[in-house]
Amino acid sequence: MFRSFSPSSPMDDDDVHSPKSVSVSYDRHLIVGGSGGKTLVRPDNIIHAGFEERLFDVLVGLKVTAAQYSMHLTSNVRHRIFSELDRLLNAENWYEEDDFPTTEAFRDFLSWTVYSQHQCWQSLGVGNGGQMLAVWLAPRGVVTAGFRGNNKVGWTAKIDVDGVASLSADIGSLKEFDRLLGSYLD
Amino acid sequence: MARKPIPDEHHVMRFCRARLIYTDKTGKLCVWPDAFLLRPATKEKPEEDYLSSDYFEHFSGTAEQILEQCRSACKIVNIKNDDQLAQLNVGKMKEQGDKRKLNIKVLHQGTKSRPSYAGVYGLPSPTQESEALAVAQLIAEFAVNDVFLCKA
Repeated sequence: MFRSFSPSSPMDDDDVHSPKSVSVSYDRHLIVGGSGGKTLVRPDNIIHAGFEERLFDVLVGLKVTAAQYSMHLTSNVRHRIFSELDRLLNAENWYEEDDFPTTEAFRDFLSWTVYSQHQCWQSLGVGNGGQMLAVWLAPRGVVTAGFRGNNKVGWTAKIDVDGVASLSADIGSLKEFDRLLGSYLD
Repeated sequence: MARKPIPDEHHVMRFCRARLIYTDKTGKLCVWPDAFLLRPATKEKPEEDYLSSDYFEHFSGTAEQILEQCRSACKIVNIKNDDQLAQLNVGKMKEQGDKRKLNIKVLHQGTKSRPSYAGVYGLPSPTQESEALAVAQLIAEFAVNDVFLCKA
């Protein structure tokens, strides 16, 4: 069950996709803050919208999306999200032909994180087709999730029960995933 | 070149992009199950029917020399800094397939330009989403022997 969230209500589709509106604007050249105290600056001298520029725009777009949820995330979680986005979406690691993480998938991840309060994920990734991946490491096992952006999430879980590893994998709604993860992590 | 089954005790190396790698609490590199999903059909390409990899024991030399040859073999243009090669045990992959009643085959199908080329066959189609994810999880969990940086 999702924990209360102002205004307290069980999660429904409208709740999940309607964070409290936060007006975020950014200059096309000077960009909102990066992780680790660094400020990202978009070079002025790029003439063509090349790969690196598009990558940079996606990174900024995702950070702006995260900023819309900032009042519901601790500063530590916010920094971890920014830091993971920086790690994943940079020209040193990203392939031009790969699908960028979709805003819808990232929004699902953020909404779900806020509502479920399971903010203790270990790492983020980007799946094929732009899914937003997250992994939780619990004392009893590992849970991975791929947020697809349509209120659906594909998950895998490996949980040790009396020394025997029990594995499961499925695809379901954000709500179903919350129930599952809650039972493993709480 | 004819396709030949690779012995169970041998390994194949699967190229994994940095976005599909995470670090656990002990600092160990782990591979997301998504690295072992077949690519669905797109406008440009048909659905993938096997996972590409390279046959580790095709090469000879010390472990480090073999690894170096695997790095060159995977033919990725402009390899990125944090890309990894996951070493998969053939027997363990087949064992995981058996658990899901799948007949997983790992075949050496070297070509002139890539003599170590190998394929993992018998994985669920990407259209069977839950089943494909379950098998990918089993491979990630039980068949990955080690993970090596792709860029030496």
